[in-house]
Amino acid sequence: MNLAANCAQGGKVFTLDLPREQAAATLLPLDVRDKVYIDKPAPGLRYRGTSFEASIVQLHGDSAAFDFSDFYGAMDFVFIDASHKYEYVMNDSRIALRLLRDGRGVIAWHDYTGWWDGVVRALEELHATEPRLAGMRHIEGTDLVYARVE
Amino acid sequence: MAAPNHHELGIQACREGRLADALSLLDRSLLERETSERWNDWATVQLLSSRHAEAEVGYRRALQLEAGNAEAAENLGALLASSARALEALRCLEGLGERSQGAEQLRALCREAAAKQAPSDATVEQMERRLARAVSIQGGAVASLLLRAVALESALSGLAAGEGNAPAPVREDRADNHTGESVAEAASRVSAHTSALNSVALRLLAIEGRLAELSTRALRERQPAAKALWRGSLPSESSAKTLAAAPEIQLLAIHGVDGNTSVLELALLASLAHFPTPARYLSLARSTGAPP
Repeated sequence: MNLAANCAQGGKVFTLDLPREQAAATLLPLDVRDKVYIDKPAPGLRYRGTSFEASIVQLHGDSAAFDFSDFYGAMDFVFIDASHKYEYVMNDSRIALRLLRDGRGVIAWHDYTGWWDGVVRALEELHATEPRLAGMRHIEGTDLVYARVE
Repeated sequence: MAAPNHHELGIQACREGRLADALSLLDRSLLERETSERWNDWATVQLLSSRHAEAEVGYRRALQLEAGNAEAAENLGALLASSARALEALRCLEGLGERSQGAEQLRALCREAAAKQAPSDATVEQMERRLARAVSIQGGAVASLLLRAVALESALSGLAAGEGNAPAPVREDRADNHTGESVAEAASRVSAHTSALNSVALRLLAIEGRLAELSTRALRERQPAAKALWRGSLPSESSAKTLAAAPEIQLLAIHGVDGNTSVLELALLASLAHFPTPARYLSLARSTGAPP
């Protein structure tokens, strides 16, 4: 909802969530600790009924299996706060790069912290090996990392 | 042949001191089926492996699945108390009643510790005055913000104390339920105008920003000795720089922020969203997006 509040006029926010009933059958392995966060009630409780509802599109699925073909090259900003497993962070980050409009925009990640070693390993590897993500920055005192991709 | 019981094998491995094996087996048992008992055991192995943050998540999950799991509540209480979070420990142990002698002993220890930890009268009263002036309506939201502000201010004084500014002494009679009383008093004084929540949010941002700076500095200064403090290898920049790069931001539903995302992080995300003057956003979330 905060993204919707801060995006350009007429902007749209698409949010992809893993339904709790799919948690046991994801394409890539989940971290056992992810289960704590997946097992939640229905999505969209915060924005339903607000003036932002119309600008938020709720998608459901496993990001490793989801068909993103309608969204490639169409996003300006991608925020990844999903599975903390290394394989998922790599998968989601590579998809994020393909989603950017003309290959440009901002990608942000949450949970860059020693507690989530899969996120740390993936982001540090991407920073070292993916030229488009060479500008990655960790924001001090937080678990956020972002990259302007140009 | 019967399938191996990973839970029992994990407990056995733990008893034999093979903690890595125990954790791997308990991971598997949780993936097979989540129960409060399994999370409690998983968390205990994490605790034995000196991974306190993981242990805390495990115990909390155990209690989420079965609020009456006295063992998990007692374990979590002990963990929090040992981490100098006596007030939280007390809250966790409150529900146990007379069922557990261990819990009663822990409660006594926590009360003692809480008296030493509570924010100073001067700090809290100063905070209440500021917030009462700025804040309005929406009792629940205001209460959450006040709680968060008081906790942050307290943490800030703790960090400042580490830099040589000792906090003022605490009156013990206010310590146990101090925060709750402060919120009730302050909330009853607030008047009815909207948008003041934003003022409080800004105040929280300032406190969180200052805390982040102090934490980062402490991390740099004490890195070799502080095993628990983690620092990644990615290049970094200050939150102030990121925030300054964006125009005015709008923050919503601040009172609904869970323990995982701070107000500062929300503000930073809002700022980042302005960078490309974008029109289309995608959020990949690990959960169904609802508050816990």
